[in-house]
Amino acid sequence: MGLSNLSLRALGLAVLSGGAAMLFLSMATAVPAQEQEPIEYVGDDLCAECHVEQAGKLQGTVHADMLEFLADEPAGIGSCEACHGPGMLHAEMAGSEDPGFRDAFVTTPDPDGCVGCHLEVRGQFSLPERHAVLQGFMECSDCHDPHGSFNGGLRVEAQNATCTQCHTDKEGPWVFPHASREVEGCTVCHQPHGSVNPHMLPFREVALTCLSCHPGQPPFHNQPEFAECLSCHVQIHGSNLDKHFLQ
Amino acid sequence: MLTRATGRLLALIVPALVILVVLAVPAGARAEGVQEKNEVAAVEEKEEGNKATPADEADLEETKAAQIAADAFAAEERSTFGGFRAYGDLQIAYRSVDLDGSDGRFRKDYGLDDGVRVLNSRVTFVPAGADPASWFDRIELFADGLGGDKYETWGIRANKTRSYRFSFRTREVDYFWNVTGDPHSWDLTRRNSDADLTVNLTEKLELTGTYRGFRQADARQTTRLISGDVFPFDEPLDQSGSTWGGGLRWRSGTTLLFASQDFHSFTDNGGFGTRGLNTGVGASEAFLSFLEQREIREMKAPTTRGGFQTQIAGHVWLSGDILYSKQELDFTFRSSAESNDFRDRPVQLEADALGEVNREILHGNVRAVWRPGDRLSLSGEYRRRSWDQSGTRDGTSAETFTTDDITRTQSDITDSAYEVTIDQFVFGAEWAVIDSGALFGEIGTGTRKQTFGTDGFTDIDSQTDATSYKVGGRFRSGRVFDAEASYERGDIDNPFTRLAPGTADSINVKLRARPGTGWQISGTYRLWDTENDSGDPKLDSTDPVQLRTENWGLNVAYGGTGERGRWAYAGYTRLKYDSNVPIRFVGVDFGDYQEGIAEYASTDDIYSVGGEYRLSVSSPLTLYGRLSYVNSDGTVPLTYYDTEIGIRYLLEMGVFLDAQGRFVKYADDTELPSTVDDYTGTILTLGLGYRF
Repeated sequence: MGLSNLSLRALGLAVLSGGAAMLFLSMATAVPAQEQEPIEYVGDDLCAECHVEQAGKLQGTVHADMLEFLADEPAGIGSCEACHGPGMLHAEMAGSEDPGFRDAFVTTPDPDGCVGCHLEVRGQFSLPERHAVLQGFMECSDCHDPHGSFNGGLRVEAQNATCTQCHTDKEGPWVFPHASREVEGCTVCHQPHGSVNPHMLPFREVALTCLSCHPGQPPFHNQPEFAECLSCHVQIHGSNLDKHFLQ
Repeated sequence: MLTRATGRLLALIVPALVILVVLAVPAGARAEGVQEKNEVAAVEEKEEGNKATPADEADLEETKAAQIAADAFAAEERSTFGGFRAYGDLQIAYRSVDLDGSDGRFRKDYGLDDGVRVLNSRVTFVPAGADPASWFDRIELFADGLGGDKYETWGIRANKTRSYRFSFRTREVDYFWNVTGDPHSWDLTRRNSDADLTVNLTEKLELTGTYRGFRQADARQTTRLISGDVFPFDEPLDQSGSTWGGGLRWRSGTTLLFASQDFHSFTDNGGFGTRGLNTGVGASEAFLSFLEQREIREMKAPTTRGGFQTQIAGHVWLSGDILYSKQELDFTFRSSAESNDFRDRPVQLEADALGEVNREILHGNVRAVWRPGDRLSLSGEYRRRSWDQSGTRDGTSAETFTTDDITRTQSDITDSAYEVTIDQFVFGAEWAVIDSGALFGEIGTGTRKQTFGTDGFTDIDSQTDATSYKVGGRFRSGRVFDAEASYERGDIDNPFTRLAPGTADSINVKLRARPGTGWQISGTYRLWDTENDSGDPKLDSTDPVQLRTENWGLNVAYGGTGERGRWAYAGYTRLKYDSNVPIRFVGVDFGDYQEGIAEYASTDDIYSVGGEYRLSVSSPLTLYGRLSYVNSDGTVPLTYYDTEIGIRYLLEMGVFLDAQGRFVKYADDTELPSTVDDYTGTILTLGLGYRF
């Protein structure tokens, strides 16, 4: 089957490209041991002296719980430095005006600092329809707060508000809102990290997305011209005029 | 503007030539410089007694102190403006874009164009000396993409440690979507502005202020099905809104309390209409000679938030938060149309309406975690989501059939009410069987009550009860290996609202490994399987709708630990979905499957070639294949390719030159005819910067 050939070809190319790139990087970036910067950590407590808000929000989060796995050294490392890199130089330069104060971290910033661990999300952002994070137009922190929030790591307090801060035309309110959008949230229909389908829907055909929750429809829908739900239900996010979202 | 071939050639050749020049021509000069530096270093080492030995910790401390002193000296040498020291980067660039193929798809993906841009610029001011009376410790101005890029961003940050911090950012986005086969298109300008202020009133109490503003406007197109024909419509958009808010946050030890109040307003001055006589696409006789519809919405919504988290006796954690919003919406609606209906009868339509909607939204969460011992953790959570909405629509409509000289008028005042309340309880337990592994389980139950009422009709009440359970385990071996697997099942009982799914099964597996320094490996598998009973005997159906999606992911990354910006990725993501949809529901056999595979490999590297040269390379490649549905058994490949090479050359006095060449390619054989959305683009950026 064609898919298998394509799959093997693409996978082979990906593995070869990745392997070559890694080999290139290993050789090109090799630094003699005696020239490497000393890596020194300071721990969460020292970070929290200045970064009070972030330290407080981090308590009890998955990121705080993962410190042992995330850290570059096995013992005594704070979870702050697991993502931000060793902070000794930054701490020593705190209060100075030197530009190195801000840059005294070695870990790559958002998004590479995030997808370096969340590789599956890196893969989803490589799907054909996705938010333009890897293209450099957006950052993970536009939607997420890695330090934690009261809403499962999203940047604002409600999931839909995270989406509608850009997609403002979907905000409503409506006289007849699509209840799933209001309650379950935008992600009940859309996959924000990426999808193989237009508009980041879980299914290629919009009708299948609808049928996920609406399997039973009036009999007159048994006609080909009604197979595309949104041809009639045009205001699917909500309408002020029609409870079936027809206008 | 550069010609297409010239631009593409330059984008590839210029960086390559620069690299050759860097590597070959000044090698002698650099060697002389290195020699001179080595001589100076040798003298200094001799004078200092050769004390910089990396293996010696004490020497390391001294080296670091010397470096900091040198940095401080360098800072003293920087420019000062009116008692403030300034440093930063300014970069002006000219970008040339050479595109061959679909402008729409390229604009959706990149949105880059010819012209002069301000890129990656920031200036920071700090007081020239230690001045406790200064209003700030730091002010930073930043800008990126100014001049017409897809995302134009600029802003300011200021802070004084333990006194306040302030930030403002505004971003203007060119949002574009116009791809083949899609009934909608957008060509919008979106502007979002955010401002945040935090003032430290005391050591434990903070005052916060927020502002959010947005506006989006310009063109949008859509299509609508009228009497069997599909008609295109212009649907221009003009929306704006703002949110002002303030709050208090108090923290003491492990206890946090916060409360805030904000005021949101929103205006939508939208509408849509035809551009003239339109016969639509379809087999019927319908056509529109004129249609215009306008709808104006205005909303105000004050919102109150509050929350807490605390730790009791070292082994109990409590947290909770609540959101209450009262939304008020006013809208006016007017529609006017002239057309021939599907029986070819000329008809005129006039309709207008005005109305108001009031809604109260309440979101609440309470969580508790109890750890009675080292190995056992128990948790409980209660969630409530509710909205209570009432609205009135007062409208009139007139329908005139010119041929039959008939006019039908209708006037209606409709009151509607919509109320939904969701209550959920979740209880969980986790038991660390061994030091590196744990088993966990979770039981949830929830109820969704819904009432929908329209004036003149009996209220429709419905209730959905849902139960779920989840079991799983995780294993973690230090920083080397982390694995988690879980199975979850949900049952939803909902015979009234046609809302399903009836059952949902889900399996999740995540594996993550760090086999060596800099290596990350991630494997994921997710199965989501639903079965929906129609629950409507009128449909005479006993066949359920079955939908299943599977998602595999295998991703590998290599990044030099402790190195900035050096990463290589390779990944494989596969999505597959099967469906079994009884034909009677939609008229088309969806009882088939679709499958998509995406593979990618990329590198992202920045490093110094020589002291004054910095080379950056990125090379993402994504291949995607899809097996189509409805018996079109074939592979439809899609390829993204985006590679960039750049070089920066540092001149004297902080001035630097940048040259970047970027080659992008999109080839989509999923379209019929293929290549309609394909493009090949070359993006050349030449920049002049100043680092001070």
